[in-house]
Amino acid sequence: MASGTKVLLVDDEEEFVEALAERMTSRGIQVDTARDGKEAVDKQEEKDYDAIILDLSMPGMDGLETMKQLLLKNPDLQIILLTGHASLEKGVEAVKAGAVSFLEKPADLNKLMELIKEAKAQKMLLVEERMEEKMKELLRNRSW
Amino acid sequence: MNDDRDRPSDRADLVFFGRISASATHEIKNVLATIGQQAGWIEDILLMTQAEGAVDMDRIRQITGKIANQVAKGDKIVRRLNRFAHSSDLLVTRFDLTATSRDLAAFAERLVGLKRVKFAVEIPDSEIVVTGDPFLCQRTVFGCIELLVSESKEGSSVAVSIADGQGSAVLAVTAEPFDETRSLAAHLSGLRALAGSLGATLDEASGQGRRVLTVTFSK
Repeated sequence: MASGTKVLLVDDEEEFVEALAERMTSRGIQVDTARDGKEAVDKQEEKDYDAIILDLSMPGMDGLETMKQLLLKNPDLQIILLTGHASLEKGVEAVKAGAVSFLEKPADLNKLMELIKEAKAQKMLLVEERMEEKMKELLRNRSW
Repeated sequence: MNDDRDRPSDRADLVFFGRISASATHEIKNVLATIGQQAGWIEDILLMTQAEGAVDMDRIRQITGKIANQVAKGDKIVRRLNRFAHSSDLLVTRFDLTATSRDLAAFAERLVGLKRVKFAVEIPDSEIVVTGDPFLCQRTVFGCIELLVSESKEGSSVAVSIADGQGSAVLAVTAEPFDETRSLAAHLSGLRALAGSLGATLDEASGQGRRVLTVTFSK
């Protein structure tokens, strides 16, 4: 994993977040944490994350609602949903709502690292596409 | 009170059983996920130690302490779930209302938290023995908590308390602040019938920005 990957980890299980964040940090990832959906939305406005790992079941705004709010502000965000009990319906609902992946707890760290790597690559691709679109628009406007 | 052991379980019994079990297993899954990451954390430290030399024993001890706490937390949840599963063994029995309600409040806590309503449990440590169906008792109390929580605004409080009397015990679920003009009549008829089937009565009171549902059990 290239160093400098920025991840926001959102879960209300304090000790789960602590252990997972420590392990990700020791693998060169810059990890920020949030305990609920509102904090996640606030943090995302301050920093450009390569991936956001979001627990589905949280107090107040749940994972799906948080994801919808995050994507409304930035549709290019790469969101990986974590859940205690994965079901096919929940998975379909999550992907339909815009999640790039859906992982059941207890999450295997190697699998999670792979998903983060894919998310970062996808995000870079989207950034390149956006830049290309902007360049084309610029060229069209100048009639070159 | 119905003394028939063959009382057929209705769909609502199963839904209630399912909701409590789903909530408890969700909590257990979180405990296991945390232990899994903490064990991996130790593994990471040991791997790094192989490269660097000295083992940071204080750090390892700190993490194993956290694992022990998670195991104790998981054990508590499993014991509670087991007591809940056995609460449907007997239709009429003498049971401790405080212990049963404390267990139920612990199950309800997560569900209440998801709605961002503050939850307070003011149940005495002493035993209060009542006669009835412990499963239906929990369904009734849960129904009262769920109703007031669903009708409360984010940030309000719901409290469960028990008062011991001579021939009866009164369990109260109080929500505040609560819109005094809000009618709960449509929702309360089912809960009243449920309370009646276990020989208890359910009353509603309102005032000073509060709504109180009380369930009176005979001893």
